[in-house]
Amino acid sequence: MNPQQVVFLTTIILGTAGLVLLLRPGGGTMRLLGAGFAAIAFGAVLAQAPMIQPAWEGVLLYLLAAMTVLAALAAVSLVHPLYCAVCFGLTLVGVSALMAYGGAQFLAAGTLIVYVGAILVVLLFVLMLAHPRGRAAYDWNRWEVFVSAGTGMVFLAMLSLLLTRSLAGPVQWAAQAEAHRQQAAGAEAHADSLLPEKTYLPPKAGQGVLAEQHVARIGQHLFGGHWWAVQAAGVLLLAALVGAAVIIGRLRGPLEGPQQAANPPASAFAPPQPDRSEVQRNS
Amino acid sequence: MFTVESLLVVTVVMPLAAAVLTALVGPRLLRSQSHWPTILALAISLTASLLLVWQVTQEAAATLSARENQPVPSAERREHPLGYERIVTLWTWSGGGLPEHGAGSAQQEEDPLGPPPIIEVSLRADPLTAIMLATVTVISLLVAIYSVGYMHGDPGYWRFYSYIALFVFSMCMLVSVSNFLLLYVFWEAVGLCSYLLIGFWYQRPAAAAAGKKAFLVNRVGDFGFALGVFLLWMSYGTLNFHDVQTAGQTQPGILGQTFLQQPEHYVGGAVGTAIALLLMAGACGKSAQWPLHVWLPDAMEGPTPVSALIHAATMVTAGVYLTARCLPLFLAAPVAPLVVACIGGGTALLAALIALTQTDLKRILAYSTISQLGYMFLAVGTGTVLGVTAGMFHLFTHAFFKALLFLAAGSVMHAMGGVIDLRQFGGLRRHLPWTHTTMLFGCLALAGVVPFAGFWSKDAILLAVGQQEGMVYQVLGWTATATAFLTAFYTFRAFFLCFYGPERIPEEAGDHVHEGPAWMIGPLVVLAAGSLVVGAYFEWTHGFAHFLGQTPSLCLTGLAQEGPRAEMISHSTVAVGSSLVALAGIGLAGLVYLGPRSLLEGLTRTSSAVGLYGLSYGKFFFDEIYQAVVVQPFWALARLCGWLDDRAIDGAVDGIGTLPRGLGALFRSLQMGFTPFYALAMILGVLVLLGALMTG
Amino acid sequence: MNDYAFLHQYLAVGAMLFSIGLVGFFTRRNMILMFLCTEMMLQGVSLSLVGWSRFYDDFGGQMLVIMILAVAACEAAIGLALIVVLFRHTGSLDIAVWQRLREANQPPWQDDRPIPIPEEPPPSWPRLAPAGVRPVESPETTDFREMV
Repeated sequence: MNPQQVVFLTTIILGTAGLVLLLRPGGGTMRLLGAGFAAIAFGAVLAQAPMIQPAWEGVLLYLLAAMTVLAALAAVSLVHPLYCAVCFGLTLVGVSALMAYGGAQFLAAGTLIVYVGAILVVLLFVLMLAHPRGRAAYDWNRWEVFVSAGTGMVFLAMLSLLLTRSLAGPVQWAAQAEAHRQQAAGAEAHADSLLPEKTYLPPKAGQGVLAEQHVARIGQHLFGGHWWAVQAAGVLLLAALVGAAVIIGRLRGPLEGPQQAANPPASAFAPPQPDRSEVQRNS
Repeated sequence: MFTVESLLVVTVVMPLAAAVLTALVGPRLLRSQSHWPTILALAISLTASLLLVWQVTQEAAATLSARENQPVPSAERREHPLGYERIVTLWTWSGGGLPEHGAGSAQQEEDPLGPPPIIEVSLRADPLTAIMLATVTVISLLVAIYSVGYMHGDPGYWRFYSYIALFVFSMCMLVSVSNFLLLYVFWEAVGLCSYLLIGFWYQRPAAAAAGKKAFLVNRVGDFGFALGVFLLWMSYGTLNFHDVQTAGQTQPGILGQTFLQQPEHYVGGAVGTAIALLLMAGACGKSAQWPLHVWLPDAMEGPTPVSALIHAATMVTAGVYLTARCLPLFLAAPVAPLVVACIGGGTALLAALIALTQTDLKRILAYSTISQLGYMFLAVGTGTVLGVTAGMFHLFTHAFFKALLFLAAGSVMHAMGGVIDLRQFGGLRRHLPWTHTTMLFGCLALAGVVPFAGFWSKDAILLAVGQQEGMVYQVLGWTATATAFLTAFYTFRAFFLCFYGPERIPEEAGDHVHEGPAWMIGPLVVLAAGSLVVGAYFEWTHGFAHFLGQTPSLCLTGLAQEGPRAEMISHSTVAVGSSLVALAGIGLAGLVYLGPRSLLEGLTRTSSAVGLYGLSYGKFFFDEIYQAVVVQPFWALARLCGWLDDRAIDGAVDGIGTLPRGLGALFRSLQMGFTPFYALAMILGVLVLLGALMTG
Repeated sequence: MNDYAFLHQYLAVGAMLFSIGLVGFFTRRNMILMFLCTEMMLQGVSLSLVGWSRFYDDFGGQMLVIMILAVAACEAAIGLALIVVLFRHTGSLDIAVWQRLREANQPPWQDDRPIPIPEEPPPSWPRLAPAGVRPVESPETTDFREMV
């Protein structure tokens, strides 16, 4: 068993077990255990990647990643939707921090503003509007936890294996080239010649995303080469606005509370045949 | 103004204009006046065609005298064309006129198929065409006038005249085009008009079935004709009748001067024979010769004017026209003329035998038509100028008296309230005096009694056949004479049964049996006069033979003017012999049908005893034989194919159709309507793909 | 070397976010939370795109992320509007209520499990003393009453 296979199996088994424990309605101990399993599994995936130098940056990155993933786990597994939304907000914060670190400051800000500032708030509004009591059967009892978690973790494990496999070679070669470069300064050409032909080399000059005046240049790109895409996105936004207005506009009449109990009995899960008068009143 | 070209075009185009006009405004505006466009157009056509005949006569005579006055050495024969023909090219359909692609001659690529074929839409004026056009327009005008009375009040009145005009257009084009392809087109067009008019009363199942039968039987012949045209294309590389001048070069046409002056260049041997026989197959189909004669008697289900026009006088003669036109092709093949003569003579006798016992007046006339067409083929089959001229002469005179007979039969039918069975009426001569007299003229002409038209033309045929050497032609000559006797007998049998004897009137006729209106009587009188005089006039003036002899096809170099035994057979011998035979037939008919009844019964009993009566009455059982030999096997094949289609092919298709259904039934239970499950299934699919990607 | 490490890290985190969102989408039945899980998957994809963008030093990936942002905003508008409409039809956010697209003879998925909501302790109300006797009140209680 090589390390890749170990990580593969670990991810699947421990991750599935952890997610199942997290998602099943159960006591706090079980959830903690699940969170631990899941953390091990996700940590194993993350640990496959080489450490970023210098070390403090690597550690910072690990911390950010851990926060994001744990918040995501919480957002998925917590019972109360409001808590879920809040944890999703935390995930978003982590993601935008990672984006900022990865040379996408504008996107980080945009994600924060659009997601946390707009989408998440709308989400919370709707949650509070539609679900004031906060605890429903469908928040407790999840659908096919084991199969779902297994599928998701197999998916993750395969992606991770794919990543490791495809990047292992280049990483090794890059390390060798780095060593050569340090041994003989000025022999860059020779060092690069060590790399196989098919290796995708990142460009050397820092004229890309990490260069100065990041936002100005993203604007240049956005309204230069991607102008039509921006226009299309604008039209899409307008259409979505109109669509949302039309959909909501069908709800005329006084706003009423839910016609049925927000927490229906477990046996009433069959799709209700809506009363015709009720439908007419609604529309 | 009255040039040959303009007259030709006017003759041809007027009926088309009438057909289109009647079809467009007939049902709404003209209604019961729908006959006017057709009658006026046909009158103009008739005038134009008569002028055309006159014009062609003049010019042909001028050409002939010019050639005789300036005898030229044979090396320069090409300068002086044989016969008389004028070509009117309306437009070029294909080839020739196409723009050159390359700018210079250096860029011209060698087309592996040779130079592009030149197909011109061109009409020709020569004596044969002029005669045919005159015949067609005369008869069609008279029939159109007659139909005003006969078809009066029919719900499809405008339709009838539209069809008639369309038919006349097609027929005129058929006889005047100068190209085998266009000939085939209009060959089919007249077949289409025939189908439409036979099935004119399509509500009657018998009429619809007769139309289908005519169409299908004609298809058999037309298929042969099409094959013949293909072979012509393969052999000669062109389909034009006439020579075409392109870019200083002469592309010789099949019946053009180049070939006519050097007939040894015609394709002979097996291919030539095949061409001739395939063309003969087409002619057999259209002209109702054995073995494709079965459609014509059934075609009598159509209106009687249609029978007179299409199925007696004009369309059925298209085969004779084709044979006469393509005479060089027939002569190039060794046995083809003999085959034509045998089919013609055999059909003449066969149809005459069948006509002896039929009881339907129109059917008797139909079989008589087949018989007379057989005569024409017999004449053309002699392969001499005399024979072809006699055949065309008979075609010409036959058009008059057979149209007359049919129209008279229509008049009888009109008076009898649609009854045409000779057993149900008789002794009508007091009620229908005009019909009686005119029909007597027609019967005398058909029987071949002296001054009438049929006598002269039939005589000419007998003479032409008698001049031929060889056992077969001798037998055919005796056959023709016997047929003349039978013709006289059955013609006057029908005549006597209809107009003499005790008076019998069917119930359908009602109380007041009367002649038709003047619209109907007029054409009868005109045709009766024509039956009386046309034969004698042309025979005495010798105009017909001289005129027709100027047709290029009949000026073929080396073509015999008369048969080899011309000296031995005198005209008067044949004339006296055939007259005696005809009078004997008439006398026998009078004896049997007007004399003591015991004689008729004895004759019937005797012939029934040996089976001849049943054979004749059953039309030699050709319909039954074809039913058993052709139709039933095809029915069986069709049923087999239907079964295969229904079970095997449809079954396979249905099986393929049920396969997805079965597979779908396996997965149907997965359609649980639960959204997360769909997402899960999708991701499972992605997983499978991903796994394949990673392992592969 | 560092470039590869960076790319690997970002892609790994993106894959994790995507997988977690996936599992959440499968298991959660609350429509709003399902919607939230799709957003989480989008975040995973965005993060990977940012990683690639950094690796190739190219803005293409970030352009795509901006488009994803726009699409996500549209999705939020339409999706939440639809959810509100659906909620007003049935009064429930449960996705299991909407199973009408199933095959004709297919029984709907039903959840027969009991709801494991822990019993809430009965609320404790202040106990009144019997009439006639002035209760001995602790300063704590008096403070509470003043607040009420």
